[in-house]
Amino acid sequence: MQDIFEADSIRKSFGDKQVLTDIFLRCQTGDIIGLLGRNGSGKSTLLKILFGTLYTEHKHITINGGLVSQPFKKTGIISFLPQDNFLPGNLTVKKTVNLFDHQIDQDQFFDDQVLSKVTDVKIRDLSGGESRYLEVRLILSQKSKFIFLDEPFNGISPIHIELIKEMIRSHSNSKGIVLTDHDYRNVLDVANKYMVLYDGGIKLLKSKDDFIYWGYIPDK
Amino acid sequence: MIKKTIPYCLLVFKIDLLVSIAATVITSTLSPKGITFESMSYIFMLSYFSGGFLLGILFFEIARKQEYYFYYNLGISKLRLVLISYLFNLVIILPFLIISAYARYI
Repeated sequence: MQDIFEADSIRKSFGDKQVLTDIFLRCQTGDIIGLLGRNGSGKSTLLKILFGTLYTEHKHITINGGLVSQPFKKTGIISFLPQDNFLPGNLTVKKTVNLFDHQIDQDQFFDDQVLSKVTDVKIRDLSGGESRYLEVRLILSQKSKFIFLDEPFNGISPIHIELIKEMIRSHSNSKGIVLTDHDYRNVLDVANKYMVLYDGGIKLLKSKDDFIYWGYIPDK
Repeated sequence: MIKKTIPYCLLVFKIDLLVSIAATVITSTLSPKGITFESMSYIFMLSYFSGGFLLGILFFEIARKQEYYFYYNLGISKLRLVLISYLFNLVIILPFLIISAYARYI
């Protein structure tokens, strides 16, 4: 079944600064949307609003046609990887995974070249890359219809980035995925739709010229 | 769902307990006429259910704010987390409340 997430009329300002102006975003099963934009363009703000954890007076979010005001309160709809590390530091990797999702197949989850070595290590003792890799894998393994990833490649070594991209591609068969990262080459490589946040609005990108036109990459 | 909130509840409880013990010790030490067990337990309870608890929440809000997303991903809002944590603190301290009441009775 195709699931459809639609967000419309999203506006957000901080003081006098209007960050998002009348955003429309549509994501459906099979989509891997690469959301790009300069620093401070509002990518993380938009994802938090879509997840329902950041308040805005103006938003209209529907999932399969049904209105949802705070999607995060309904489990199985959206899983969200925030920009910063979010797992409790005082627990071991194994306990954290079990607590986060007790239905997860632990043998399958830890049958992984990165995580198999760190099952009994506390989260706070993991390296930045290991911690991020665990978070991405944990979020992608959820049974949610949609996955929002805010900077999934942050601090991860190139070889493990390839593993993450493979995970994203394989999960896109059953989910709709929106991801944002400053490592735009990897975003372009894994995504099948591209958008850029420019001047508070979303612009659809179709070719490399569009990236240059909207000022995201330099004209060389 | 309550099981999933345990890391948060334990952290808030630890800080609440430390603050409440500190408040009780400081008040007892500073009191010129000394202090009875009854008034000590009263000060402890007052701190435990108000300032100590609020400081625990504040600590999380300042130092571990990003961890809220662990709970958001489980469908648990901040308000629900705080309410569960308050109940958790109440249940943990219940034996002390009973002992304190019994000590006063005898």
